[in-house]
Amino acid sequence: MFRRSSLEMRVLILAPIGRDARLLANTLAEMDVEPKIAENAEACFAMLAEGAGTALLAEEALDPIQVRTFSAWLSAQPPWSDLPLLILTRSGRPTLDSQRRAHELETIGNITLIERPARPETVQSSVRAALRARMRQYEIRSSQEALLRANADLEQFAYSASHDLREPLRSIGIYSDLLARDYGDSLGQKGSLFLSHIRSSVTRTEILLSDLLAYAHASSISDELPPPIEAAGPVDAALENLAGAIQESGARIDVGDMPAVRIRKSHLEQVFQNLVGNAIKYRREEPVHVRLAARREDTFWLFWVEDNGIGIPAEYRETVFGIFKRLHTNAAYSGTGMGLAICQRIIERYRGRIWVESELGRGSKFLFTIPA
Amino acid sequence: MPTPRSSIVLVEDNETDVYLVREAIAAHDLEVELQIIEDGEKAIAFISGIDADEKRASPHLFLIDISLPRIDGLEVLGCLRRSMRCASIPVVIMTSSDSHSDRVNAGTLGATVFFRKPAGYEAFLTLGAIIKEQFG
Repeated sequence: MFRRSSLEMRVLILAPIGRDARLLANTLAEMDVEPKIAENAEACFAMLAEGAGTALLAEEALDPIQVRTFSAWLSAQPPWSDLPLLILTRSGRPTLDSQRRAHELETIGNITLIERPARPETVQSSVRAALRARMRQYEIRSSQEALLRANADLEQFAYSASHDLREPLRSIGIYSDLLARDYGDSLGQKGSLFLSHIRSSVTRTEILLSDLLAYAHASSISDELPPPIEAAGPVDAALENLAGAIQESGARIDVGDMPAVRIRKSHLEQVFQNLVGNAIKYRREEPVHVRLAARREDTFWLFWVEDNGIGIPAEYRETVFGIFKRLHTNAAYSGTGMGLAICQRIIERYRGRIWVESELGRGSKFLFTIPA
Repeated sequence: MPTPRSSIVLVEDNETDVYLVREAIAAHDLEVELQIIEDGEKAIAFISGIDADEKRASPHLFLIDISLPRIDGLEVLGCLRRSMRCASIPVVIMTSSDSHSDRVNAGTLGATVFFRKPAGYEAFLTLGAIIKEQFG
């Protein structure tokens, strides 16, 4: 009934009196499961680490220290795992003390208490239910692993594709330059127009590819958090990268105090660069004014980039974060529709959140959080 | 002083770039003999051929593209640096990618220059100046 590697589906038994352990093993032997007796709590922990379907524990085998060790082990399980434990409680009438102990044990994790003396059928059905639940957990693990693999493949694909596409694109660009240089005069007005269309398409595709690359790169951010860095550094770097656009637009940029946060420099720089770049790009007639600031909320830092630009209609405040989502023609405001998608990818990989508040015709305020 | 006709081996499968390399050489008035090898396997065979025959002249410079059919340019570079007679010849590694790891790997393997193929014609011609420097 439970076909898995025997390590993953075995039933560990921890009962300090050898006879109890053997009786339990005999009870289980009647079922199609593999019982494994642990001599003591330490041995039991070692076996748990190798794999188990469930464990039958006698209450008296667990002193308070071992209860804590169990809780620690169980809370360190990977997200898919919630090992079911069966605890055989002391026999006798329920007392205040036994209720308190039962409550303590419940804090360990996924616990079922079996009162002694327990009938063999009770033990068997509890074990069966526990193994069934465990089986389901293994299935979840498999599908999660498959999903992770598929994600990694997709990232790799996007990465290679954008790299490989650059190569021919570069040639198209260079050879249209050569065509313009050597044959521009004989192309006529129409021919020159066509050529300039080719050139601008190449430039646009180049930007698209580097955005795709940045997006794929953001997807492959590892789950491990880096040491904290001063956010002021990436903010300065982003503003420096945008120096041309800032100067051209005459934008006034105010930067508030910035905290130290656990994020890679290049990622925070990318987020600020995209947000401030947008703030400048989607401007109104009046002078551009952008404010960057941060403040501590309870478990995270809240950052925001506020502008006095054209604003975003309410119905698009979520879609703007989608890949290739654009609200304007390329002629009105150039862009690939990747900038905010990249920001969202990065922030979410660091377990933060990004959203926008906006008043149409008055300005937008992009906010994001990074766990403190 | 450079020999009257220096010889360069270009390992590159992309004809459009072979043309641009010729243009870069011409733009800097370099008197060189350019030999083209179009995949990594043939490049490695070429290197072993020089190692095997002491009478064969070895080239003065290698230009190697990273993305090549069969065996990639970084592997060719590694093989070259381990070879008997070609180990100290300058190598320009070329690529259109701006991948940080390619740059680092090329450096570790002993590339003399890393040339990121630019997206403009004029910018590509700067390769000629790089080649000239190697003969300087």
